[in-house]
Amino acid sequence: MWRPLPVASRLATALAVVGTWWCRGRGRLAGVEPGAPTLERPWRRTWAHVPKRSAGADFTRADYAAARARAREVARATLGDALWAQLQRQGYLDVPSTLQPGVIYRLRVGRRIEVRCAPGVRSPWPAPYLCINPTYPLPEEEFFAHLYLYVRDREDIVRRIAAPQPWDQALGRTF
Amino acid sequence: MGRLIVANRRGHQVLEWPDTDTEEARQQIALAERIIQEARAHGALVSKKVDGQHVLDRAPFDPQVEEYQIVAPIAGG
Repeated sequence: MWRPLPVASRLATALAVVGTWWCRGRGRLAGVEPGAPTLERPWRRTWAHVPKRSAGADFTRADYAAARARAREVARATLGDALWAQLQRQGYLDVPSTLQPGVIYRLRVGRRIEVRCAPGVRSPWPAPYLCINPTYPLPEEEFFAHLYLYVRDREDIVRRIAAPQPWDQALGRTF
Repeated sequence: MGRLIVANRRGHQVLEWPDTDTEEARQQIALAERIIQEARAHGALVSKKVDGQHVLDRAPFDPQVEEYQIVAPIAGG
């Protein structure tokens, strides 16, 4: 015969279920098992309708705070401790061009890339700032780490897609 | 333990696979490989951790790599 559980027992059962779900979601993958958090694959969606500097209408303040905290953690892991410390100390990272000696890309979190040239070196662009955004919303520190990888390892892509701009500005697809 | 970091608006989400030769490990590895293939097909790049730092990588998926990351596609403007 079914009987309602005492309150404490029901609470313990509920906590155990939530705990199991949480551990499973964290340690394995999101999206594999029923009930686990879904892994968001942002390349599967279109984001053109999402306003600039936003992650979408379904995002709460708590979501933004959690996303930024996780982004900081992974950006640091991506760059490594030495570069991360340098970024925190000086507020930017300079990446020398491997395609054109004398050209330096100055990267700052959430901003356009500043192109700096040594005396006598001509910039490949008509304006000093390059606007490059992720194709889906990302926390700005996370995208900073991605942009650093692009500039350092795939400068050819950066040169192909960068939009030169005459002034500095916050990026539109990061938050 | 290998891991794949999927950067998204949540900051990131992580898929991990154990070093052991188990069915669970094989499933996780197969899933990681599918996610990387899918992301690359949509214009994303992939980085892997080498000597404590990530580098962009064009090689096929290797489950022995300590850590992979999906790097967002970029657009000008």
